[in-house]
Amino acid sequence: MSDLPPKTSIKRWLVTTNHKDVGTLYLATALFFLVLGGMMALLFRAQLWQSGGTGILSGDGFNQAVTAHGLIMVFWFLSPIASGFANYFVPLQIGAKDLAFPRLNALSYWFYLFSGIMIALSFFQGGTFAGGWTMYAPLNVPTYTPAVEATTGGTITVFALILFVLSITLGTINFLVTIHRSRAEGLGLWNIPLFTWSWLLTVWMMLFAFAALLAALLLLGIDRVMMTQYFATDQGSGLLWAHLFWFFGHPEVYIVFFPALGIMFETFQTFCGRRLVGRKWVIIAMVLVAVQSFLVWMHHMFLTTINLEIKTLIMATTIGISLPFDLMVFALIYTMVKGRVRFTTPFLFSLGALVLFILGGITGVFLGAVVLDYEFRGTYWVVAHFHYVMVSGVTALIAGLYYWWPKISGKMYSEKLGKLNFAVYFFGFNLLYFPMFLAWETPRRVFHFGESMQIYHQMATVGAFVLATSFAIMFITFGHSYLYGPKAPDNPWKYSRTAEWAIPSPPPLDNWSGRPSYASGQLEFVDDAAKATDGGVATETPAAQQEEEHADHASIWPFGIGLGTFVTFIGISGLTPYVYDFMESAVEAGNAEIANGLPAGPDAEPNIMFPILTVIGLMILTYTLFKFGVEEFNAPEMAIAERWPFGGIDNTKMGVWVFLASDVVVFGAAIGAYVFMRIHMGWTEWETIPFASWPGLLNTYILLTSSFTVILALVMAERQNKKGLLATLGATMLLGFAFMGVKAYEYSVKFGDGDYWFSGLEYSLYYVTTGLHALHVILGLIVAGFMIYRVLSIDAYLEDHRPVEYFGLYWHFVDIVWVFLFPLFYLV
Amino acid sequence: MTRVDVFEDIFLVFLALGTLVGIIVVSYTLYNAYKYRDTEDRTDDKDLPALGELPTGGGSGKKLFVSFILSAIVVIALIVWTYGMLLYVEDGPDELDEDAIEVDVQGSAFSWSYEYDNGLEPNELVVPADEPVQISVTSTDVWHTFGISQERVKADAIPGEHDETWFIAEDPGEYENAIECFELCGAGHSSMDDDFRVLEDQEAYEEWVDEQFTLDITLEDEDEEPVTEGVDELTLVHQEEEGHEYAYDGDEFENGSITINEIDQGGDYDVEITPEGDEFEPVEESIVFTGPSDETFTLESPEDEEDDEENNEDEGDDETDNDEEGGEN
Repeated sequence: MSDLPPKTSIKRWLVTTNHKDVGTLYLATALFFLVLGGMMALLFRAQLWQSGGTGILSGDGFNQAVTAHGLIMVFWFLSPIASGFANYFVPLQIGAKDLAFPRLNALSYWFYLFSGIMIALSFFQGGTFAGGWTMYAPLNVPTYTPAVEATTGGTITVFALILFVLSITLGTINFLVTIHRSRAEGLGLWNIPLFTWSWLLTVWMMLFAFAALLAALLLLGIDRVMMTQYFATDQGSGLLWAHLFWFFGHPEVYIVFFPALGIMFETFQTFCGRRLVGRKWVIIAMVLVAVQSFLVWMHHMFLTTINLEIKTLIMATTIGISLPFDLMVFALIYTMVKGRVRFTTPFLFSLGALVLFILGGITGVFLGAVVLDYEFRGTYWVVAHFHYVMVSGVTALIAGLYYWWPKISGKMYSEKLGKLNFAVYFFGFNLLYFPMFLAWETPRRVFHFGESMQIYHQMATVGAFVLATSFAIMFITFGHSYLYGPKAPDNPWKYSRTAEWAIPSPPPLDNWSGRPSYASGQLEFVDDAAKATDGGVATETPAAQQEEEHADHASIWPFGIGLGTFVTFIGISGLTPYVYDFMESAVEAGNAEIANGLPAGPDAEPNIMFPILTVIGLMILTYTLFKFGVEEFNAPEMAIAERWPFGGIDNTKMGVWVFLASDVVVFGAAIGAYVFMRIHMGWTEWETIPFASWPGLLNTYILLTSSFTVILALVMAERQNKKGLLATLGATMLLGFAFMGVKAYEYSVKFGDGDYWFSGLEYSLYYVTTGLHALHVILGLIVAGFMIYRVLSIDAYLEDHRPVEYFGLYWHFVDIVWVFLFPLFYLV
Repeated sequence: MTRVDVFEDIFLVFLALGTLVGIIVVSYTLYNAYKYRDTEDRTDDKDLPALGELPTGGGSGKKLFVSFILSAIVVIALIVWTYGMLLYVEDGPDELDEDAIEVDVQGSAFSWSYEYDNGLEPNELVVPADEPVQISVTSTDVWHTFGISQERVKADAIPGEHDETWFIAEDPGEYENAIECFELCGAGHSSMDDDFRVLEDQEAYEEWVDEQFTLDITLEDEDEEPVTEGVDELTLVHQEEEGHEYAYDGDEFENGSITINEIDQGGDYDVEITPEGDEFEPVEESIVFTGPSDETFTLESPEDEEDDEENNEDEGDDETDNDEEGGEN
């Protein structure tokens, strides 16, 4: 029933939407970026061989290397390799056939891959971003050329990150719907394996944390391309960025560590032959961490001008969040007690990860004491601490690679090589990172340090190369296994419990030969075709079970959309010189004013290639999105599944709700930026930007009316009234256009007065926030236009009116956002 | 108590406890891993996990809770204990309010500049030993972080923000590159270092301050010859601060020059030189005096009124005083 080409064909990998294929792609790509990020590290560790540098890197080159190392490791290696495991094993662990939205899953991957290609390209467009992975403002914008060159490559890096975050957002929606709605019968949420639990919490955190990052990156991207002033002023820009970034950045620590923790739980249980001690409490501890992770971000800002009360509060929440980890660590240790511990390679890596994490945790307590934090801020203590934590996570992820390799490849690896790998790895790790504690007075990201520090830095550099060697051994081990390894049995590990070990290695395309069910308290494969419902807890009608539909696994359009977005983003990244020229000539002609004078320009000349790429990219995007929209694609459906607590709504509706939840955070961050900057400026000193409030009021009425017409559209679809549906959707579009018309008039009046988006901070806030909303309206109009086309061409939505309802949800949301924007920008 | 003392106190306790806890926990982990290693003759286990079972936990978790509560007590106690120290560091020692030296520190890519409360702007940070120094840190361009590791003092330099903190230096000496930048700020970040000088005591510091306030004034005619006669009076008036007005008679000049030591407030001064009769055109200038300076004024004969542009290197842009003018010491 598969319409997929064989795995040896390249086409297979371009069209596949199968979760195991996508998982494999994620793993392979993430390992490639591990190598790339590692090369960056070797490069600057070589520079750090002696104080003042060995001269292989310039000051700017060094900054590029440390920045790219951080960004690539955190974004393009750590999260995606966990995504790879999750793609492959979460559906298997919960007994699903695939993710809820297989094509979106493929799209996530292509966004990820293309974003990675973008950051690789950024090196060749005047140099990649060089302001550190934390991208502190105002170094991240073009205003300060003596400090940093505002390169096109830097802007490409920002857009690469935006594309990456889009990939993450799609992935989180997909996994949330899948884990909540596709669990095998009898597998309650409480019962899902711990790797899946850790991933579930990871994606919940991702959903909100990455939305905040998306908002920050959008504002930064607009600053860099359109020369707005969010991060360019001395009116709170620096603090605004720090707040937005760390609101994302601290949860991100747990986002990258949780999957590793999940792997540790799985491997400890398997290789100790014991169930996790205090499983219930471990899960509760993880949930607590996930929630609390959003309340500690300001501990990255203890040394800024935030006041003592806030510092005290954040200090308390920070200690609070460290405690659940104590419990998890003890749970792992006690799981070994009375167990049957087998020192296989995956267990060695997991045990190593635990030891390293203990050290990372203890050194983290130092940073929790604010007085010590003051002194450790910006030093190698921080570098050493977070590498002990993050790379302990990497250690566990390698454990995962060894643990699941037989399942993925169908081959066993050589334990000898694996153990050699671990020995070299563990030695290299400690030789690399431990001396950093001793050299802790060295500031981060410098290659000038005191003589007394030199020996430690040299040890670290040697350690870096040893660690790199261990990865070479790892690749050799897997290569050797793939070529010469003996065939892996279904379950190579004694005492493993989870469902992926109950099927062949590698698993067949459709995963299961019968329907997996835990209804009896034990995994069984039920043959639904042979026997009638056995009285189990079926959540849908038996009729639904009969529909053994043809499930699709192939679509080229996710790849196409990825390509189109990629080309568009590259094009947009190079538009800055055009905007700057426009700004310059407008100022010189006296048509525009800028509050702080003309900022420094980008270091690139206008290049016609970029506008052309933008147009080509948009054309590809339009075509592929359209084809994606009209393609017949049946995702593998689960007729019987555990769906608590989302049994009442269908997959797509839950997906839309989850997406809107993340969009709330995006707008929340944008509106938060407005409030923050305005408070910083003095609330009443704010100058209202729109020339009058009536256009805003008019637009409020227009949008509210359009919400009404969308509701009517749903009623018409339910009544199967084609004309009525067309009329109401058409009316909605007309109202949308009217809104955009009023907006265009309002903008043009402001332009006529010489007030542009680059004229000052207030102007930037006004144009960008309302512009972000207008972009949502435009996207809604495009969807509405597509829906009208579908009604006309294939009488869509008359049988199944749900898409109209989903569109309505989105449209109402956009209207509600306006209800907030109108008073903020027009009235108060 | 200096910040070094505070840091040492806390750090050593943390280090000792951290090492102890680390050794205990890691040893216990490895001990268990070894003790419960799988061997052929193990038969003591009853209920081994089986493939496909619904996950449950193992063990009662009592031990887990005891360990957890113990670790929580250690951590919370430690942090609470440091909180008092935090309050001390936030407020500073008592002397800080009364007679502390105040220095505004400014980071600009890629150097530091200092402005003392007496208006001095030396190009290195000089403080007396054992005296509290209050600093207020900001930036003119991007985010920097000002820090002197040996004094355990650090503050973020953020454009538009003024981050205040303090320190007390104990050991006199000249420390090369002791001041560093701790936040990535661009291509020159790595070498954004500055020297730091600690003087013996308050007395040595005051001497240094006096030295800094040395103003040499030379009067020349148009042929660059010293003017020895015909000067009635030279006055110096601080442009912003009251009470800093100084006047010198012509006969206090020696061979057209005078060395002034009595000024104790740096900043912008208005200079007026009045002739006896109409020997030369009266001079009205503005000078920036933020460190040892040499000023030369050309006194022009009354006839040529027009070109008076070259008489002084600094032509009165009164408002900006942050150039290098007075800093050569």
